[in-house]
Amino acid sequence: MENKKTRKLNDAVREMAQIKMTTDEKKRMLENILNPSPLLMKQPIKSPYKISYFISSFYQKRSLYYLSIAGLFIIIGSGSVIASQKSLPGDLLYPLKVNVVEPIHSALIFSPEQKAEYESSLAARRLTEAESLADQSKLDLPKEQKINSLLESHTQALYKAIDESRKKDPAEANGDDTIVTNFEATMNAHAQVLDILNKQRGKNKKENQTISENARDNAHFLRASQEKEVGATPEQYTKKKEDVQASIDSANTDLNNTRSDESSIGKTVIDNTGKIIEEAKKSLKEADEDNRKGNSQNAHSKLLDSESSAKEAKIFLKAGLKFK
Amino acid sequence: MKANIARIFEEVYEKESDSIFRFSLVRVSNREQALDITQETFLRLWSSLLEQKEIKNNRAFLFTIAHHLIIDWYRKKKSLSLDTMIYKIEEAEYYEVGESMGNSIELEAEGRYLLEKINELDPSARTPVYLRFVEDLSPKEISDILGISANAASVRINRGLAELRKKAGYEDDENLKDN
Repeated sequence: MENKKTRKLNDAVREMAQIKMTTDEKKRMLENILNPSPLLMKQPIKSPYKISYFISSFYQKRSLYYLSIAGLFIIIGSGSVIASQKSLPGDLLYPLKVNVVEPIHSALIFSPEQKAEYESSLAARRLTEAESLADQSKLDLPKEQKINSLLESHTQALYKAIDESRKKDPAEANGDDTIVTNFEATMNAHAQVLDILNKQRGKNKKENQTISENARDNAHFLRASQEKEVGATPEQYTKKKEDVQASIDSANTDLNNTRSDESSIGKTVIDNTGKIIEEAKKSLKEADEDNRKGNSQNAHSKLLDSESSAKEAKIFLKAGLKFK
Repeated sequence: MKANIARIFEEVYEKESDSIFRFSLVRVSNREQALDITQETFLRLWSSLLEQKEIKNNRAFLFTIAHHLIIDWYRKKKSLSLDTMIYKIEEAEYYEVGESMGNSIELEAEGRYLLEKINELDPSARTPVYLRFVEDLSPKEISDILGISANAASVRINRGLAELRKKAGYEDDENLKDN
């Protein structure tokens, strides 16, 4: 038998179930839905807090929240790393590039030869940055000091890597020579570009010239530290001479293929490239004379001078013609 | 094709429109607003049917939409701060309902009494208890509507029913069995 409380409850539920729309309301609503007016279609009840709700629901799902934060850091981090690669001294991301990205990259290189090449490329990159700043007349003293300091540390790291390479395999002397002449050529070429830019941008005094001087000094230091007391064997000399001649020919070809440039910088670069190639040829000639006289040490040194000049001409032509 | 969809829609409308209207009215205590929410709910069902979206359970689908529209309506009405929302949207939104509840709904004594007691429950238990007890939805359907696990829905229903027994004096009533 249904007790009193159950009856009351059933009555309550029944009464609540009587909450209904009127027949008119129901009919009108159905018509509105099946034949909606454009106004009705365009004005649904909108949440004014959609974004806040999204954030809060996100926050409440802890695992998703932490995962997303981690993902965000990775995206922002990798984005910053990529973005930092084109940064210049004075930019917000430049410290990330020179204090984090590049040292980590360098630390992950275990071969001394590859490390030497990487450090050499970093030194070249510093000079390219200096050129960009000089071109925009933004190379002030703090930036100059920063670049000089980095240039110094790259040269030291390069020296150390060459030293390790030599200890590891003393027979690979020619390999060391290539790295050294590449570095020397790169430093001298970019130093010359910097000097031209500084002159063209009205920096006629000694302003902004410490970087180019520093680059030349570093090149000289490295070359002097790697000079050998014993000259090359006749076979080594002949092979090296062929390589140097090929470099001179290649620089000549590049120069001949360069269209005449009417800009002041362009003219200077083309003229100076010709002069550098002439120096390379002259050094090669002197090397031959020393070799004929039996002075193999001097002959080898002159051969390296020639090789360095030939490479310098190529780098200088390419780097210098980027500016107008 | 559209005629067939319209026929299905009208069947669902005829069967469920009062439930959705009642659910909305009980929650927003405003007849015009409840009608708007009901219409918007069915409008979305109609759109979904036209787009041939798969709807497994029309009833749960309608209550889910109505539930979200009511939440949106409360957000629009109340200037809840972001902090309050983060605290818990679902629970914060019903606190004010009880105050005006009943006055604008025409109900006889027993119905009004039960509604008042439901609205005295813990905010997290009100909707689950209402849907289970008045609309006779299953815990699984309730969990889908509220976006919580079936287990959490059962816990809220059982906890709410136990509380309702005490508040309404139905403690020895066997009709209020645990779910």
